[in-house]
Amino acid sequence: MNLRLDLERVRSRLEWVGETLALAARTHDFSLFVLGESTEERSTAEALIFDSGRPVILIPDAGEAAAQVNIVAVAWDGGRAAARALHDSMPILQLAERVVILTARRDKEIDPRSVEGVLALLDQRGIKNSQSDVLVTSENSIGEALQEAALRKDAGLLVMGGYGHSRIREFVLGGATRSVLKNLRLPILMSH
Amino acid sequence: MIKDIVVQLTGSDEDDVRLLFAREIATAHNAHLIGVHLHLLPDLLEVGEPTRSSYVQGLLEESEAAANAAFVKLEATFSQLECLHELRRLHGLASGIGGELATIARTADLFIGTRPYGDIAQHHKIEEAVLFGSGRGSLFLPPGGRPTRTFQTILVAWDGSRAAARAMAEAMPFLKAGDRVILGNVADPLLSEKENAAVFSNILPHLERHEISASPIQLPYRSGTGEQLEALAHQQGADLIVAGAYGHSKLIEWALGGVTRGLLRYSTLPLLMAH
Repeated sequence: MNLRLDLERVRSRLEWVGETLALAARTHDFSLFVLGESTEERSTAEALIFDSGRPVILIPDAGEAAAQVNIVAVAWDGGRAAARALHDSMPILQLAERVVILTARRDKEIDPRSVEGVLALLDQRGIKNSQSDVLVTSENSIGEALQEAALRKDAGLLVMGGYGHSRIREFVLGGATRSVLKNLRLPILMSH
Repeated sequence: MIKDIVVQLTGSDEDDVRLLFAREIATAHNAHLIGVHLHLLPDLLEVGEPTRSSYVQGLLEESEAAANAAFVKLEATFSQLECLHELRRLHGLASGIGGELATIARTADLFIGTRPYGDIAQHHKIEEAVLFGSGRGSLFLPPGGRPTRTFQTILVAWDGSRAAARAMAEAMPFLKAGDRVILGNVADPLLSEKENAAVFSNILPHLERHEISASPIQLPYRSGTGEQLEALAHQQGADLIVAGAYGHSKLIEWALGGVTRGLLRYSTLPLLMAH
């Protein structure tokens, strides 16, 4: 591989690791983070997702799946964060042979025009081989269902929006976001 | 890469300004232009249960007739465009239509609107809904603005924050196409001189990797950071300001950061923002 690798050492107090890494991520196109199961790693991942303004690719530390982006799954709910993730992942989607749009059916159905809009957008970017798939799932298990569907489609990467909102002091994660951070099963690109 | 642009159209004189910029950018980037005409229903309908009185009915018919006339005019204008284009329309109340516009902007690369607060009667909530709710970059034009040369000299307000990183990423196609990029920063009075100087140390290599050479300028702190940045942009002959949009949602309205509000309210230069 003819890649230039730079190694940079950053010093930080343990409780500020997330903020320090997010600061570095702000001046890079992507950041990659290997996520294990400790609470510290999870809070670092959260800081990267919500405080960098740039896309983060989370990689499971115990993953056995081969790294590939031939097939990429994109979780789409029509929301702001999903739009951020979709556009941020465009350079990767353009490398893919096939893109699968995953929507989860909950109590309220997503406007089908919105999914058509995404397919049209991909088509316009020269990503021809895309399809959409609707998952039937309950609100609590969307994160799990998205990962399951992505793996079933042999996707090497799942693209999704990171949802969260601040409630004065603590940051509250969206359900699907919390679920995938807790049990990451394949590489996930997240943007907020 | 800018492949599609959503431009807000209302039937007012500002449509010409928005279209002038939109056309120029669409042509330069070979992008598809999506015009969205907003028909704002009379505010009266927002008050509780609207009655079906003849007065309300008359208001509605009047507003529909005006919107239809504006749309026909826009169709004629659009048929003359050389770039790829389409025209859509939205109907709704000022309080809700911004969300619909944001949804359309989510599957495009750029939104073009007029700077909110440009005129007091204007519904700034619509533009704010797109700025904070689309996840995409928003280009806000000063009312009555005219494009000179499109974005040759660009001032990027850089303070190392998350929002600044977002705006920088959305501005990348413009930075690449421009002649000169200036990074403007107002020194933080709480930081040491050395700490302040470090604000540029990581962004310059990032831009260089994108083959953009930028000149950093740091100004001493005075109150009125937005004003200082705008003055710097004028002094440097910039024709675009790129800045992060700070805000947090207070359920119904967005509470804007001071610099964000100042720029949105007073900027006499086009403003590219992202949240």
